[in-house]
Amino acid sequence: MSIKRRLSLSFLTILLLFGVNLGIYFWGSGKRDRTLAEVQAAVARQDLVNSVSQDIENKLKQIQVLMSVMSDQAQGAVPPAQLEQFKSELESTSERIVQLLGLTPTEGRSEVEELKVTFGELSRSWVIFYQNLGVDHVEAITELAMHAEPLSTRIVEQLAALKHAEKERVSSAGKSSEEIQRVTTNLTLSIFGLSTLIAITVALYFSRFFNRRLVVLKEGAKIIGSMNLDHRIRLGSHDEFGELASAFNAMTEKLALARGRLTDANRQLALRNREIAQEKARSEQLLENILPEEIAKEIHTKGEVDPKYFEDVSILFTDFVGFTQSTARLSAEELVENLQDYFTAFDRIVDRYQLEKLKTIGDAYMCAGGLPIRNPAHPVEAVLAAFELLETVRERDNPKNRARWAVRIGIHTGPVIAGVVGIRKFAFDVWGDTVNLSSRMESSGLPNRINISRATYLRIKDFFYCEPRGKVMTKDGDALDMYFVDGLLPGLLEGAAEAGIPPAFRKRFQVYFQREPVAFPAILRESAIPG
Amino acid sequence: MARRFVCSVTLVFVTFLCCLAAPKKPESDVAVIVHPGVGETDLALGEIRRLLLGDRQFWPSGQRVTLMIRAPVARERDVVLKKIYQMSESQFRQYWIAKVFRAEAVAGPKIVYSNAMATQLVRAIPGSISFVSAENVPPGVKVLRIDGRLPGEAGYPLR
Repeated sequence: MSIKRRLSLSFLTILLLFGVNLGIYFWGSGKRDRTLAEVQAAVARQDLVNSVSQDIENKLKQIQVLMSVMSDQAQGAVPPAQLEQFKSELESTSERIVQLLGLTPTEGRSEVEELKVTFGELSRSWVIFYQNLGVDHVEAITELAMHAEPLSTRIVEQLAALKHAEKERVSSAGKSSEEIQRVTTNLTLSIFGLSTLIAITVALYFSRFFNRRLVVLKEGAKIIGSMNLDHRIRLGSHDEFGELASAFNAMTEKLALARGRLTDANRQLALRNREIAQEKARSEQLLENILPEEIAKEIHTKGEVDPKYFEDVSILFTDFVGFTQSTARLSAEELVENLQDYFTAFDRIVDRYQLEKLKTIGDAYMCAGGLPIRNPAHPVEAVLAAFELLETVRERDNPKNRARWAVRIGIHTGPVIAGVVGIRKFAFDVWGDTVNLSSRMESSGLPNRINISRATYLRIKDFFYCEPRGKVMTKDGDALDMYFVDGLLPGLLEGAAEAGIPPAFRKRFQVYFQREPVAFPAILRESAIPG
Repeated sequence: MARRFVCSVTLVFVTFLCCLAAPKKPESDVAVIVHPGVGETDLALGEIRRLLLGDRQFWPSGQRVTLMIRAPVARERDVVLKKIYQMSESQFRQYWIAKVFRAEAVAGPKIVYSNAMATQLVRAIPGSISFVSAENVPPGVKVLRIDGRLPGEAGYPLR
């Protein structure tokens, strides 16, 4: 049964009780009114009886007084006016008796009728007495004694009986009124008590009814709130609470479904994030491959790179000799394949000596030492790398290789401006005369020789044996001091083993640069120039 | 003139003395008469007193007692008041007014103006009782004995 119906029934029950109470009130009120009317009628009758009784008693006394007066003045008849007044008074009393008769209920009417008859006879007797008073005294006394007095006695008795009867009726009506009042009060109190009891019972019932269901709903909501979406609220009722529980359960099902979808979406998102992270890492790796690590970090952090001045950098240029001729002999794929082979080897060497590859332009390869991390050993390490580059090229110069190239290597040391320009296809680049001079060193060199500037020479002369070339005219028309690096100073090869860095070289390197050399080309152990 | 006045005064005085010296006629007893229908013939003085005071208003037969008494100044009334009521005239009146107003009696004694009227009414009204001079008791009424004595007999109380 629905709550609405339950509440309506309870309301109707209480309304019914109110109706019963109201009915009892009206019934009691009607009874009280009737009883009051009876009491009023009884009192009115009692008043009339008393009035009639008083009249008759007054007349009796009047007769006695008349008898007394007559004893003093026994002469003359009663004046006609006095007689008429006497008759009028008797008539008035008679009318009151008739009035009393009209008010008297059927069961008490015979007594009043008897009173009326008796009073009629008594009135006539008294009138006879009055008419004879002072005229025929014997007749007057005879009438009085023979008729009036017996009738007086009888009427006094009748009046006494009537008074008693009316008193009883008044008393009875009063008692009846009290009884009605008592019954009405008792019934009203009983109905009130019953109403209160029913109201309390209904209140308790609904309190428990609501509370039990609300507790189940609350507990269910708490469990569902703790994300246990498999929980279902079971009330076992088909009322509004049952509908609410069903709504909760439907909502929970939808929540579970939504959570499943959300979980899937999150899983997908995590997958995507992982992919993005991987892509990002790859991108960063690519960026780091393209750019120096510090520059790549700066781009990550700031989105751009401020140009930086490096006062001491060694720029190394290489250029293949015979590449142009090879283009006529080799297909594009073969050219690219060979370039890939050479430059991959170059990349590994450059990495090993902590140089920074800057770019390739056609068959030219450009790298730098001393940036972006300042490093005072960069001229030595650039030369070491150059020797290893030469060795790599020489290794590939054999009959099995269709691309048999020599390489010119030029190195110059000086200041540069370094930075990244553009928003796409980032490239770390350097600018300044040092770059141009490095290029001139390369172009002014010879195949498979390392041509360096005087600035570089001054920085490596304590490690390498160099052959001064004097002033060499560059294609720009400038005459510059240039040196070919022929090999390591012989003293630095002392104690050199088959592998590893020669101790003398290591020691000098440590003394000059306060650190260990990162690598050492094997070819130098073999090509040492005797001092 | 003076002689005539003295003679007249003397004559009146002599006449007065003659009157005083004349022999007085003896007064008769007062008889208690009742209607012949009344069953009683002899009553004690106390019973008669109760009847006259209105304490007893019915005869043993059930008949109402109708009391009649002579008007004031009559000798019979004086005797009754003195011997039976033992009241003065004013006490008598006050007694009956009070009794009637207390509703202890429906009617008081009826006043009769002569012995003839009294006897006439006693003959006419059943249960009636009155007091008349014993000399004037006519036939048709019953004379009650008081304490066993009739008027004229020695020891009769109403004398």
